[in-house]
Amino acid sequence: MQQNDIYDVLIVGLGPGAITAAIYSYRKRAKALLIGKDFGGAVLVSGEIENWPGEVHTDGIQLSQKFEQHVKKYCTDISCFDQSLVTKIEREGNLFRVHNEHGKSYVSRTVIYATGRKPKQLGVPGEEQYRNKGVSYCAVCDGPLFGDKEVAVIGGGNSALEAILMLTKIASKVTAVNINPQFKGDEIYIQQLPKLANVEVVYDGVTAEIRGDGKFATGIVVQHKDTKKTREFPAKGIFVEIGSLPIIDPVKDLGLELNAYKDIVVSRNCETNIPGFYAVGDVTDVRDKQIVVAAGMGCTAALSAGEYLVKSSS
Amino acid sequence: MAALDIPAILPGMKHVTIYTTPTCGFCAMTKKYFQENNVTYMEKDVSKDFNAAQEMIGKSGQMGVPVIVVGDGAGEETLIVGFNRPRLAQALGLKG
Repeated sequence: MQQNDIYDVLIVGLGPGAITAAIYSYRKRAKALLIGKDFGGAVLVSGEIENWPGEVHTDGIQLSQKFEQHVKKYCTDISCFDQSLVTKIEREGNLFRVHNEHGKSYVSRTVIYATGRKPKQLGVPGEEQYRNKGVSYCAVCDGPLFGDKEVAVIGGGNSALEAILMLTKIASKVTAVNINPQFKGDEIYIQQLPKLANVEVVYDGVTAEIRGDGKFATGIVVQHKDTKKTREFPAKGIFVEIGSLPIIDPVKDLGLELNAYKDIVVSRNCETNIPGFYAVGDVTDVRDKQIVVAAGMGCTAALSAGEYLVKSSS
Repeated sequence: MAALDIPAILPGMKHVTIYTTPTCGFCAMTKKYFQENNVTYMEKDVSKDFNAAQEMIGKSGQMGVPVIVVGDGAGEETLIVGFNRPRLAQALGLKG
C-alpha cells in the first residue's frame, strides 16, 4: 500500500456530528474522507427544528440540505467523499480499514464514527406484518397520509410528543399510548397536550398487539401495566416512537467499550478505548442526544484526531 | 428542473411519477436526485390528493413515502418504495 493511499481521517456518517468533523478536517487540510448514505442522518426526518443556533425556525429537510451545501464547499469529488453505507470497520495494525456496501475499502490512520441511531421496534404481534401498511417509524414522513383518520402514537419521550402534536393537526383522533405514568420531554410540548381536543392519552399502557384486516393495520390492543385490562383502539396509522438503538453493526468486532445500552463509551475528547478511533453524537454514551451536541462533538473529535496524528507521526 | 404538472410523454420515453408528502425528507432527497440528473418527473402530494393516495396504496400495497413509479413508455412500470439510489439509477438508466 502506498503511503498516499492512506487517509488521515475517515469520517463515517452524514449527520451533524459527521458533517462538523468533516468541515473541521477539510479546513485543516487533513487528507479526509467523509462516507455515509443520507445527508442529515436523523435530522432528515426531524420535522420542525427550533433549537439550532442561528435558525429561529427550520426543518429537517432544509437543515440537511444546508449540511450538504456546507460540506460540498470543501469537497466535491470522490477523493474526499463517498456517498455509500459503511458495512464493516476493522483494524490493520495501527490503521483502520473501512468497507462500504459496494465492496470498496479505504485505509485510514483515524476514524470518527458518527452513525447515529435507528428506531427501536415494539416486538409485538402484527408489527412486522403491518410495517409500512399502517405501522410507521417516521411520523414526519408518513403522518400527512392519515388526514381525517384515527391514528395512534406509541411512546413517552420527545419524539412521541412531537408526533402527537404534528398528527393532532392532521388526524381525526390521536390515541397516545405511554407505558409510563407521565411524559418525559420538553415542557413546551407537554404543556400543550391537555389543550388538544382530539388526543386521548393512555398512561401505563403496554401495546400488546397490532391488529389488521390482512392488508392494512386497523388498530392496537393496549394492556394496562397494573390492572392487565386490555382495550382496543381503532387506528389506521400507528406511529412507533419508543426510542432508538445505536448503529454499531459495522464496529461490532472492533472491541469498542460499550455501556449497558450498547452506546459507545467516549471521553470528553470523544476518544474511545481504541487509540485513533473516535465516536460522536447519538451513537455514543453522551447524555443529550441533540443536533447541537452532536455537532459540538464532531468539532472535538476532529481536533482530537488532528492532535493524535501529530503525536503519532513525531 | 422543476416538477411538471403535465409531463410530455413521448413513445419510448421513460416517465416518472413520485408520490410524496411535504414533510418527508427522503421525498426531498429523491426529487433532488431527479433534478441533479435532469430527470423530468410528475409529483403527486398524497397528503392533499386523496385519489393520488389511493392510487399509491393500490400500486405499492403499502403506505410509506416516497413511492416512485418509472414507466418505460411501452407499458412496463418499475415501482420503487423509498429513496433507493442504485435502484433508481437502474430504472432510469443512469450512472449510480
